[in-house]
Amino acid sequence: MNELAHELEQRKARRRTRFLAVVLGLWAAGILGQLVRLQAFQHAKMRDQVTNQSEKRAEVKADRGTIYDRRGHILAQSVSSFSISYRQEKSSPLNARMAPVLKAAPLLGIGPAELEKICRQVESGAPYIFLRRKVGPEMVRRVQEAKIRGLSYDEERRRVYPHGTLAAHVLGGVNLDETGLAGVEYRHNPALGGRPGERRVLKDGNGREYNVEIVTSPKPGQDLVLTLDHIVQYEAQSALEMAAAEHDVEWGTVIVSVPPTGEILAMASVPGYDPNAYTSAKDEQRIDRSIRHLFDPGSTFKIVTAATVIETGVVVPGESFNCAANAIQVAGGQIRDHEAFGVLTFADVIAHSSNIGTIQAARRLEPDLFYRAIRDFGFGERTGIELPAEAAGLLNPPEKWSGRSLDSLSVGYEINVTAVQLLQALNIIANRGERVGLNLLKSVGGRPRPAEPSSPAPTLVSPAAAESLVRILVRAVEEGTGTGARLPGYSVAGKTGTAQLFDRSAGRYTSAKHLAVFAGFVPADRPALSILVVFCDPKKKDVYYGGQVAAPVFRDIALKVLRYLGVHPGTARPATGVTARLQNEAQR
Amino acid sequence: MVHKKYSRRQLLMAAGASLVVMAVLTFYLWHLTENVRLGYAMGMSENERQKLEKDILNLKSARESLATPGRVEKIARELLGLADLRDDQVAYEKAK
Repeated sequence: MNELAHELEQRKARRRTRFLAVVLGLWAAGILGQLVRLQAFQHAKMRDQVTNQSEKRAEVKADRGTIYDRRGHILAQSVSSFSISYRQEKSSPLNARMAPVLKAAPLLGIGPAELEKICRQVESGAPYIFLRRKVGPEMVRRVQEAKIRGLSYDEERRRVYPHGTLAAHVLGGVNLDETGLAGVEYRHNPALGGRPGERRVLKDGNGREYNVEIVTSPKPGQDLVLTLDHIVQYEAQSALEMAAAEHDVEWGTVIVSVPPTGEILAMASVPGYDPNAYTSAKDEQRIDRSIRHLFDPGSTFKIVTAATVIETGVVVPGESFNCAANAIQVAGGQIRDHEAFGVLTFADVIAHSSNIGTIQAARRLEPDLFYRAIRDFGFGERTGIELPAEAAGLLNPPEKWSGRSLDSLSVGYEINVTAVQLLQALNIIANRGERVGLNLLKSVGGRPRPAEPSSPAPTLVSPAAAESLVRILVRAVEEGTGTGARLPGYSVAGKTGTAQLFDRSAGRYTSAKHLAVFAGFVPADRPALSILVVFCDPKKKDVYYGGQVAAPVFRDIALKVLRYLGVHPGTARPATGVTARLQNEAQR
Repeated sequence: MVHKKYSRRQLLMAAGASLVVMAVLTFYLWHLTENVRLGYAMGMSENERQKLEKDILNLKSARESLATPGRVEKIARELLGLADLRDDQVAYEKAK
């Protein structure tokens, strides 16, 4: 009996064991099948899913290069800054969600209008709201001390222009992503911006980062060294701004260069702007008048006419011209002088800026020859200065000239030029006939610019003809229309210009609005500086001539800059030279 | 039960070997923890270095904006009472 019971128990146990083995076998087979399915058949899909959940690839921004002046002073630099944002928990009641924003607002300087906008975003349930972008570490510290929940601080870069409005048009500006929008920031954006890298971030199941790996290192942007000198720039810009305010001009520009090298030491325009807030500047403030604004050069263009007639030998400086008549007949009208002259030598014609004498001299030129000379001086084409959006100017070929074009051109009408073109033409005379290109860039990433030594400068005017013209230009400052530019102890060569502005609505030149120009260099014998000053529409009553408005600005700038460069009366070259060295790293 | 009797020398050798093993293990563990500790310290130092480099950049920028010619001129004129030379004045400068 006992044996039978025992046999039954054993059978039962075996059955149970077999059943359990089958169940376990099925379970294992199921797992194995699933493993095979996931690992073999869905491997690629699963791998992508896991990678997406746990790994993130992100761009590592390269540090933007710094822009220095010729003496190693920082003109533009990228520094670290922070974006402060608010991440709200949607499940919380509105009051609780609003509280951190209301607490942070006064610390972040958020005004009522802006706060209302942010509150509307909170109400709409936006998960991520920017409260402030590009703020400094001090503000972040202040907000962090307040221990406000839900705020996050993301580090980013901010472009800083420590000198504010100084050289704004040359530097340009960048947007929030540090992409150049104007000036050298735009022109040299690829070099300044560098190349971004890539990083791989591993996240845990809760989305927290636990490992960051740099896959590709970013290549930092290259530093630029400009030919500008921040002291010269300051003196030129201050003088320009003061005169612009005094004469209530529409716009103005000044350029200071070193004729033998073509290096630009200063370049400024009014109205100006602060590149630290480029995007909030008005359009008219952003225009770089020195390279983009076209104007009739007026009598300053007589430098080109005089150089051509002297070079071709059709006129000698001592030759006399009858300028006693009130006006000279030209096709379709008359051209007048600003005052009645008698008989003038050609030197006096230029020194006293007689239109009648200049036209008489220019009429001895063949139109083709005069046109070629104007082109040789660089008009009608870009100078190639390292700035974007330079205008080429307007110069019609002789076949499009009217009966009065040669007359008009000889006194600076029927041609549109930029300030840099005019300065380049002046530098040809200052360099005794050699054309040296203007440049703004000393080096990029430590490599000097231009990269290759340029071929010898072409000679456009013979040294003898240029020298004759220099003597005439010295006379223009000593006893002619440019006496406002006289500097005690220095020999200044220069030419004034006063052009009537073209009234587009009336379709003719108006005598109510003028352009006042002065172009000159100093010392006349061995020029250390050339300066061009242009003002559009000075509104002070009866004060609108180039000699009255622009020449004094030339004098103010030249006096201070010559002293700064160590060019004292009686010395021809800067005592210390104008160096291009960067300061020592430790001194920066 | 019969216990095998070990000699004093054998016991000392066993104890010594155990000590050596323990010392090696302890050194290994110390080495591991020290590596991790130094790794953290290096990471923190690296972060600190980067932060200081950024601070230096910020300070350079701040120094540049404090020494702008406009600001220097304002201080010279308003605080120190300096003025431009009159036409009849002669300034003697040290030769550079």
